[in-house]
Amino acid sequence: MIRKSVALVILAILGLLVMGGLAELPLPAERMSESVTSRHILSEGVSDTGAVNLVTAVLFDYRGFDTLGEATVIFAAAAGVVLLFFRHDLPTSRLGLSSLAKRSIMVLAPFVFVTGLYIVMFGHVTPGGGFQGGVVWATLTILLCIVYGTAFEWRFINTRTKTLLESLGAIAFILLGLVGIYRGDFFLSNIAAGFRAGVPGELTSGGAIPLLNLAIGLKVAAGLALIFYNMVKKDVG
Amino acid sequence: MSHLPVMIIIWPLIFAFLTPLVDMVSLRYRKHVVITFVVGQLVLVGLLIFGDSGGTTYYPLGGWAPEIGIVMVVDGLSRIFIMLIAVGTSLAMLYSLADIPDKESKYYVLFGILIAGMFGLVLTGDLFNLYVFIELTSLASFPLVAIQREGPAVRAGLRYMIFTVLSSLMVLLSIILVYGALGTLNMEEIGRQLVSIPHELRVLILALWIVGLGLKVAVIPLHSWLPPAHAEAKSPVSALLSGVLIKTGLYMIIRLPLLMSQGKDEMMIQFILINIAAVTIIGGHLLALGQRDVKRVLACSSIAHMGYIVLGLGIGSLLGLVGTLFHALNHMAMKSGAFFSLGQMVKDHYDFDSVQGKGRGAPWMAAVFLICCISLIGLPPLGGFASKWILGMAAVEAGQPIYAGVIALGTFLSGLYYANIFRILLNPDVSVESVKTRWLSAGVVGVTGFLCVVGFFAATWITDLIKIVAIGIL
Amino acid sequence: MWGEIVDFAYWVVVGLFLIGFFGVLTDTNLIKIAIGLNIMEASLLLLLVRLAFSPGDSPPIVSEGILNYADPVPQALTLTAIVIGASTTALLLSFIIKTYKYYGSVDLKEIRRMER
Repeated sequence: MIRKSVALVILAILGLLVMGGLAELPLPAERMSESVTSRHILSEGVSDTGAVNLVTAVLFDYRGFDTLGEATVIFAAAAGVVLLFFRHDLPTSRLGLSSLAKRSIMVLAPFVFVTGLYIVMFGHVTPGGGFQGGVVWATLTILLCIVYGTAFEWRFINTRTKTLLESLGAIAFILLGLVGIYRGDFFLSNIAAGFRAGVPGELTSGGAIPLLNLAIGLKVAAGLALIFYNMVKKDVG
Repeated sequence: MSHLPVMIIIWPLIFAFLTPLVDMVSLRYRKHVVITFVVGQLVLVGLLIFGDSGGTTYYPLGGWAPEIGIVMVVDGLSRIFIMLIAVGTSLAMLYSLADIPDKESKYYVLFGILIAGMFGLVLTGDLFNLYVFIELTSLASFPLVAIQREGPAVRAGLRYMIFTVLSSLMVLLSIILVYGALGTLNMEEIGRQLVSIPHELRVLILALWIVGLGLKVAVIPLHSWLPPAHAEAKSPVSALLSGVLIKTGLYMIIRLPLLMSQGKDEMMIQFILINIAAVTIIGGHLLALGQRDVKRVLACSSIAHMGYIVLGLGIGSLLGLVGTLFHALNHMAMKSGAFFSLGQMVKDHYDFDSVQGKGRGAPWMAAVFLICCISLIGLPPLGGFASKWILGMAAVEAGQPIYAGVIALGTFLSGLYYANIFRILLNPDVSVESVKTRWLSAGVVGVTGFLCVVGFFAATWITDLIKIVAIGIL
Repeated sequence: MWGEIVDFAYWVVVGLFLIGFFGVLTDTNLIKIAIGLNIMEASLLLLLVRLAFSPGDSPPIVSEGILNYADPVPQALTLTAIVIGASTTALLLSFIIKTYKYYGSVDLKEIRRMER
């Protein structure tokens, strides 16, 4: 009870402070009209990067290093989960759900895969990108795991393959970044390093962005699948 | 244009991403891979620190102008911290080769990511990028704490995680408010424009920043996560967390408020910092006195030492800042050394009853442990004395001799518990078998002992170098 | 001065932040603490999205005939923060699963009692 009242008092003070601070923020429109960053990206973004979707342009080009960092965060989380559940074993079940569910999931699975691929590859044209598409791919492996039982999934794409895909995706991202240095520009340079800008709005536009999206997609899908697998494992002491 | 600033971050990332692939082939190559990585890292860092004249260099990622994209900044302050991180992590990495089983491949993955995160943290010139690297370092360090996978270790890791996530959220809120007010994320630009933020908002931003980072550097009363986390981890991880990781929080405190605040706010922050630091010094030592476990004593003493380090910042003079940076470097050497040598004498169970007489089993390790502890107490002729002396001088010079008294009191208190530990470790009444030490670990322990001695005999040379940097910051 | 804030989103942000924080400070159930941290995270994401947008703006996907776009930078930051938050939650939950397997409980009070 004392704990709760103390917490309430602290939070009341914090709330007043934060509300007072928020009240003094300028209007978003005002800030945008003065911000060099936003104005430059809105006016030059398409010609700078060749991507129509400016959020993707920011994510993979202007602030590509953030994206490398966040991809590494997923890598670290997956590695951490694997490390924590190291001595655990996967309970293999061959049963799965009814054959009705199995049949319909087999019809659905290719479409789910293609949807994921679409989201990954068209990240610079429409809303989407490597992270979102990667999550769709990860749900595919989880679906197969639930419907067919873990034994099927285990043989289908085992942990080794997933680790391989995850590492390869991460290394591909770094290699694409190093192309910039190789071509005499900077790390993670896009158009300036000779990637073709293409016609904005088409699949082949955006220079290295679709390739980066593909690398991230692989990595995210494999990383999330690994996290899921390790969480359903059983303790063997 | 040199690509070193970004290569220093990429190198450990490549190590982390390649390790799972190498492990698929065979575990036999572990030693070669790790040693190659460490040597490469030291070469890269050496080239970066000593390769140019020492001015400020910028590296625009993707070739974008600093205010549009992300920029890496190498200046004096980041050079000092890069050196600290490089030496501390290299020693811990080599030490882990003997201490951590080869099959723990994810340990090395997380270790690599942690190193990359810390380098990124001290190199980046972009506020949101800083947040990404804060999260990267913390996320990689949680599982390392729990590597023994036993109940207490997992619980210590969980507690550490909850506190750290909370602190990251505060830092994130403060970063969002900065962006909302100024529309830029470039740290230099923010430093210039911060005065134009309305007063109430600026105070909120600074308060969130200081509380968030205070949680990270574990000043009292935000310290309760540190003793279990640093004590339950394995020796190399304890050394890494105590010696290197909490210093990165210090870097961010130095980097931002000094850039940000001007005039009245600065006085206010210094007043708060110096008093928190005094409480932390005394409180940390008292906590350590009450522990019944050697590793916990060392962990609590880390809290007290972060107090000394923050004290120098609070004094706010040139000498204070020099003392802060010098003590951070010294603390890295002596606390890592203490954890390393302790890990060689005692393999598990660090409570006072189980370590009776263990020091006599490995006399050389006990000798280095003695050197590190004397340095931690702050007696001549070792590094800890030199930096504490400078901090005390700075306090006297700034007209606040009471804080020099706090340092002296802290020295007395720490003398008490280290003497007690030695009485227990060298207890002649218990019979012990001698412990064999692998040459690699012995070498690492020797290097840390050597660094403690260097900290004293080369003190004037080192402080002269730090002074140049400190003038640049103020 | 708060009378001037007609912006509903700010109230929601502060409300969610405090609710989450209250849960973290007072609850002893680890799962609820994790949920509290997620609510706090969500409030910050909401604030970021709110800062990107003024009424009448279109999403920042360039096409013919649109003059006002929302600010793309905070949206990209939001995406980054979401991914980081999700990874943190995954790791936090696995820590909780590990704790549960060892102590048989996710309640901090019971765990503390067991440690004695």
